[in-house]
Amino acid sequence: MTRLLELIRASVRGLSVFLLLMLILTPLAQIVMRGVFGVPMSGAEELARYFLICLSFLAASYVTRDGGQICMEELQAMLPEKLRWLIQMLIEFLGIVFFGSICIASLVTISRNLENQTATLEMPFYIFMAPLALGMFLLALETLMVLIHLVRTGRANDKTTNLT
Amino acid sequence: MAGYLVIASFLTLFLLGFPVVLAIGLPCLAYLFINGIPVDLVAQRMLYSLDSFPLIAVPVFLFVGSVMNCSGISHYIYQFANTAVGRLPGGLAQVNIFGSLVFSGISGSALADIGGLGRIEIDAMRQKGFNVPFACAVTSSSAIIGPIFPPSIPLIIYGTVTGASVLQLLLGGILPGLICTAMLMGTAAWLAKRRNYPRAERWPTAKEFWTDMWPAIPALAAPVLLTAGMLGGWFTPTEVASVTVAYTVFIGFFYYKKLTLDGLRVAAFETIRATSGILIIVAVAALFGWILSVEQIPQQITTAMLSVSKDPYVLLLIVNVMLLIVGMFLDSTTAILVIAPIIAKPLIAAGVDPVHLGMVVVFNLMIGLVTPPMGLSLYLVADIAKVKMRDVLKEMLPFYVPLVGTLILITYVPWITTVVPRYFIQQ
Repeated sequence: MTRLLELIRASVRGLSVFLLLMLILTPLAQIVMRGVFGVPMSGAEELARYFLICLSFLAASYVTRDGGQICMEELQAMLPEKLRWLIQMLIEFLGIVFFGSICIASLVTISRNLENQTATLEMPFYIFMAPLALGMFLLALETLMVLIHLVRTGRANDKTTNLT
Repeated sequence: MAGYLVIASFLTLFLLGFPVVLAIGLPCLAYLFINGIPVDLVAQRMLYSLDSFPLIAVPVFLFVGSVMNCSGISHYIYQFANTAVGRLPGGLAQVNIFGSLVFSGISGSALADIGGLGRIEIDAMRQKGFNVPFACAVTSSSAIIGPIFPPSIPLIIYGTVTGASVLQLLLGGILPGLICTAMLMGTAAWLAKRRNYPRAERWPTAKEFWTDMWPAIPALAAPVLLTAGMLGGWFTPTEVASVTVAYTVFIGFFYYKKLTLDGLRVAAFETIRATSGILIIVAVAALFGWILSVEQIPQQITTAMLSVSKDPYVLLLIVNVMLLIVGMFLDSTTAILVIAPIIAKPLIAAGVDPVHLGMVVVFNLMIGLVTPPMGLSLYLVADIAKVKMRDVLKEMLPFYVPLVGTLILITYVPWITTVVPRYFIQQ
């Protein structure tokens, strides 16, 4: 189980780097093709937007794992240890509920739009929507791992404050 | 009423320490569930909010900031700034502020400025005998220039959520960035004279100036080339971001020869972490925005604000006071996503230019980076310099004057923001 989880995490990290690279290269390729060869790449913009969607949702579980979700725990840190532990458990539990619900919502949306496709690239809708479903599933999974860790240790995690 | 409950729930959860994505998302989910809204809407709103070409510039400019810090460009910018303005009263404090202006011409992030250039500047000022909390105050206040001078990540996000022109917003940031730099430099000079801080013994000779400027030219030329590229119609603001990466990586590898594959890897992971952390909030905020519009909150706020006064300057004053308070507690991206769609409508209805409003909102929220209790820049510099936050805050006090002064100027002289975009677009 742990090895499977590590494999998933490594795949997410590798895929995220690939998506970032494609996100940078697609507009560059568009400029070169349009400016140098006079042949605009049709669908390049849609493809770049899709890479952004994939990167944002798929890398979210990596961000959670890395403790990088934007939050402010200054006030929470003033509370007694036991109360902080309970609040953190509540946060993780509600996190699983939220991410799980969005995952289910996206799967339902996919099932209702199986015949649809995107405008320019004619990408099937299930491929277009898949990053959201998969990303939310992975987020729910990582949040579950944090919850299990909190239950096992029986104490609150250290204060983390991440802002942009 | 339900809309206000969603807003109140968000604030409560955020202050309790919930990650922003959950603090926004949970009340929205509860609202949608209670009102029996189809689940298709939830997924589609979240997905389509990121299906935006201008937003692509966010990760790409974040990557530029990280690459700059890995490629040694920060060092050459510092060296050139030292030669150019080190003789001014305040010496290295002026170098710090001027260096931030040059750095901001490539990177659109305040934290990239502090994390890279800020480290070098604080160390140098410490070695020259400057008070370290003073060095921290100069570093964190000058880092605010980054998010308003083009390219700017917060302005891109603002343009995306309000529909204002990203190109005009970026051009509109040029003069406010220069004015803020000048006011900060004036304050640093005044303080340095009172405290007798050291400065360079003489002005550089033409040869010295040229020797230090030469390695910095690629960095200095970047904002000029990129702005010219956008205005010349060669690329869009989003494409500019990709060009900037190519340019930065190229000069990092082949000109400065300090960039390594390992450095690129580190920069990539920093970018991925920041990108997903920000954009997942953008996705969830789309649900929030939808609920607010269904509940007609922006319309109600519009009516309430216009009943107080129809004078745009009075309304801007109200907005400024509100944003200064909000900026103390809310993260800037979250604040832009949550508040901009609410206040844009009444202000634009009262006749405020959307680009002008964007600059006021973003600059005001950037001041939140240096105000307690949630001033992230203050935490970061205090951590880098290993000094107490209280000491940094004490030294920050005089620097709030130029920052608030710039805000007042931006607010009440709209020309400062609108003249550059209007000039170039007419051309």
